[in-house]
Amino acid sequence: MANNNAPLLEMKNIQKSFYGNQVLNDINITLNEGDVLGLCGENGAGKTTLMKILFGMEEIAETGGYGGEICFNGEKVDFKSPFDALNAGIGMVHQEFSLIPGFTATENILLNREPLKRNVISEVFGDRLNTLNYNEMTGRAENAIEKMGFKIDPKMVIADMPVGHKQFTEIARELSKENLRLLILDEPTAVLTESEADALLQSIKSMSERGVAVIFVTHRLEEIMTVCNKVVVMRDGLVVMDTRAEDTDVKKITKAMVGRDVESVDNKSVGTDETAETIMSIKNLWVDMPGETVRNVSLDVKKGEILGIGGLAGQGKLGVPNGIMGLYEAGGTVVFKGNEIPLNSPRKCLDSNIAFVSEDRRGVGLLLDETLEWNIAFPAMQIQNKFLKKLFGGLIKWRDEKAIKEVTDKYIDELQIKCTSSKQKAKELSGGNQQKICLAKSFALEPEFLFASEPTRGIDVGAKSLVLEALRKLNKEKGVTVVVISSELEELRGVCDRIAIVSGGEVAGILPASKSSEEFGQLMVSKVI
Amino acid sequence: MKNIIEFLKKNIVPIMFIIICSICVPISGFSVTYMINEVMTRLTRNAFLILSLLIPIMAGMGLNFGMTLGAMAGEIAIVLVSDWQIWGIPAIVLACIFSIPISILLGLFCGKMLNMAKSREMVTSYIISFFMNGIYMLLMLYAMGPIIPIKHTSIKLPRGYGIRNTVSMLNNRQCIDNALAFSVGGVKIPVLTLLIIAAMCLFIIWFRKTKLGQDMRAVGQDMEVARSAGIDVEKTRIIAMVISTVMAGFGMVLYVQNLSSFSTYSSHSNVGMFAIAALLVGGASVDKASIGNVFLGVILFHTLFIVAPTVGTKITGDSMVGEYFRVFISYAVITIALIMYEIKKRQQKSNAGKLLAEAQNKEEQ
Amino acid sequence: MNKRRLFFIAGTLLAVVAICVLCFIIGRGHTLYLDNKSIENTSYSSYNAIDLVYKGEKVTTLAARERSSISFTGQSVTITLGIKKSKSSSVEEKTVTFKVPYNMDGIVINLPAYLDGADESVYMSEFVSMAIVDETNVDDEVPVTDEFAIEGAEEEQ
Repeated sequence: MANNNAPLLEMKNIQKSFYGNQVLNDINITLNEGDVLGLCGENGAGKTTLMKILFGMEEIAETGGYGGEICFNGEKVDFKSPFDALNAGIGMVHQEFSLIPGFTATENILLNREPLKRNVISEVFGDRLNTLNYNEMTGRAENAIEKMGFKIDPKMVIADMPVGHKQFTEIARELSKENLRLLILDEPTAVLTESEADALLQSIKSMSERGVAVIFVTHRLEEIMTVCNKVVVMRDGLVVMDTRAEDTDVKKITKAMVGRDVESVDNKSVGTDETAETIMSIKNLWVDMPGETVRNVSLDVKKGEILGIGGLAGQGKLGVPNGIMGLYEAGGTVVFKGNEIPLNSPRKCLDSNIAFVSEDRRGVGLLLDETLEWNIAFPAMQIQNKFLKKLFGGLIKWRDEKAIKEVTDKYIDELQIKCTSSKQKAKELSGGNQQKICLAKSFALEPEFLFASEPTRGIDVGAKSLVLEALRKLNKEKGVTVVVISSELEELRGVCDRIAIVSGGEVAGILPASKSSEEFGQLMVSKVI
Repeated sequence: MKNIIEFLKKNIVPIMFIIICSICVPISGFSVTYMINEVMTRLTRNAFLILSLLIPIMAGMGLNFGMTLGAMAGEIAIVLVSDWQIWGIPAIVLACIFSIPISILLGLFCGKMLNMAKSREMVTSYIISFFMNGIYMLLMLYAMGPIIPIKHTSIKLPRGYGIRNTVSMLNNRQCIDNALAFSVGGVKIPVLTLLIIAAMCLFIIWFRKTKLGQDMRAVGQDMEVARSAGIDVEKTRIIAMVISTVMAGFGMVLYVQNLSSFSTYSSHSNVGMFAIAALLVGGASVDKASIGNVFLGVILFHTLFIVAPTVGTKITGDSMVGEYFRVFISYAVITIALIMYEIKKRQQKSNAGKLLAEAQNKEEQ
Repeated sequence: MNKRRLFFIAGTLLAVVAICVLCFIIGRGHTLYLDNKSIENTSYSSYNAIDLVYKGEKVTTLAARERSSISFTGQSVTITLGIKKSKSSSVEEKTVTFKVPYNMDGIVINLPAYLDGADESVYMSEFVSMAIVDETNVDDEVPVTDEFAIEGAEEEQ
């Protein structure tokens, strides 16, 4: 069946779009037995989508499938589910662990593939009542661990393991599959310590010697240089670099990753006034936000500036505002205008005139079933008693419908929100317009300080520039200090005075927006864990 | 020292009960033999029912109020067997066998429902048990007689159809408890019942080692991971439910043979409530329960149950208060144990934060 | 493999059915009413006294015109009788086995008729409970379906 002359994996002209939004364009990748392919690119470049297509994840089919064709082992394949891919000999280690916390390493390695012993009862009630063959399980697990070349205790319960060992358990699980031909590792070193990462690289090498091909997705470029013999760099859904590892270096890869036309950035900022007073001072902040853990952030925000917080996804930049605003458990000290703000209490933050535009606009940001008027006026009404008429000396408070309509209309006009009237329901608006409502809501609070978390996520280009313009206007005209958090570096460079890059849950560095993309790129990957 | 505090924290509910019991037992003034005898009776009466709760907990379906359904199946089978005038141990065997198909049907139904209400199994199964109670009553009040033939007037209501408030099994009275039984210093040891309970424990231990048991543990801990490994999560959960319901049916038959009569329209609900209360007293939580929890729970909970009325009467001089006290306790136990469980869960969550802060401190040093 | 499983399933089902049948047979409870009475219009007249011994234990001694009962499970019952025909005659031991019809709960055996060798239809008859006759006089029992747990708890005692 297998055709020995054909490459192990060929992906030809792969295309994929989500709801008309082209995320992969004409991707071609070829891989031979024993090849180690380093795949890198910024967030949103399409790496994960590409791997999901290869692994047959259901969400690809659910969102309309993909274009192009995949040949595995010389045969055209079309995986309907990950199980098809597994049967064909493709294993994948995902970013999130898929391990059962209360099981031992052995049990996890052989999850749902346990060797069984027959007994009388199973003869009647079916194979699922076969008992587990613990001896053979231990044997197979030890075998897989040996193949991997990194020693983990097969009897240890996952919940008690250090994170790195969990990662190795997952790899051992893939290796325990006899027919494994291709292993996809999606940022496997992100959670490893340095020595563990080295061990992983070693085991990748030994896998490749045994003829298993590996696709290695990572942000750590040095690792790619050590272990890979091919490098593919993706950007905006395109392969921008496909070369042998010998022919390139970290610098070139970085440039290919972030390299955009630097001149196109239209930065109207005047730079930070270094003498300005510090309005907010963050010290040793930690935030337990799942997937965006902040470990140790110290940052000073100057009065009247627009500060950007950038960084790769999962490195903790979103944790910073969410932690300060009390949406996730946090610790450390935050001083605002000379007073310490108690953490873990959103109300205290709002009372001290700090507003927050959440990245989770459907969950946190909007009352979807309410009118625009309500959405815009509600926080101001709740927090600052605005738009309320007082009767009987304040005993009864009455909503001032007229004032609410006025302010809503003002923002609809200012932010060019496309809607039929101020009475329309928030859920009926498009994503971009919903985002504008979120902004309007926090503008209505007339804050002194505004956190805007991913204000442009998921909205089109036109709306993007409007939103950014609105932020800039707020800053310039009202003197509001703004902190913008975004994963799109170019956008930050367009609107901010200074940009802090968060990497590995810490501030890797703060640069003026005018610095080159490469410098920011290096900061982004500097402390990646 | 830290370990001791940890241990106390972990076992706060059983420890609380041990303290309450050690205060109440001397006040009640019961003799040691009487207490042991009573506890032994209640242990053998209830243990099987409580053991039936373990498998759904293993499959992550929480405390299964759906066991009430199994109890109903057991009761239906007992009514039929009584009417057929089968006596003695064969009656018990037959009742068990006849409860199986009814239990399976009810278990399938309940399992399907719970699959639609994942992570809210407890309250859903509780409400399902109320709903099924309605159907059970319809069956017992109107179908027994005209549709399902019932001959004997000792079971049938005088009006000609429907089942009496109390069905007695005088001819089967403790026939299993008395088989092979002997007495040690005035304490009756019902050997056969104990053997059956031991067999059930062995079954549970064996079941954990089967593929199905392994799958259930996996599903119980992380449904999504289990699904991505190719385990049929829905089916596994339904099977857990069915097994539990069938076991509860058996348990109910054993329970009734010990009491030798049951109140047709209410004992199943009480049985479910008391079984869950006892399990929680034994230190089990919504997601973790062992065989040890079952026995510790039965002993503690029922010790209190035995002494509470007397203690209440002695303290207040009113026998109604004692009765009230007992029921009050069983509900209080469930509430406290559930709240403790939630608190523990939340503490674990905030531990992640503590670790982060500690890591930061270490780095600075 | 599939055939093998089918075989095992069939075997198990058969075993369960067999257990059921067995239980129905050996578990069926009957009450045997033993009469020491004369039957009118026949030659069978009561004995002076009959001792009843069931499973090695003496149940009672039936004087003339007396009735006693034995409860048992299964389809036949063996009793040892100590027969004293008349005041003067000596006690004669006799072990007898009655096969009883499955669908009768209570069976009346007229011992004199049986011992004198009468036909089964003469010495054996179905026991009719007086309670059934009284049924109309019994106060109607109202089923209680919405007991609170506080009442149900009393059962536990």
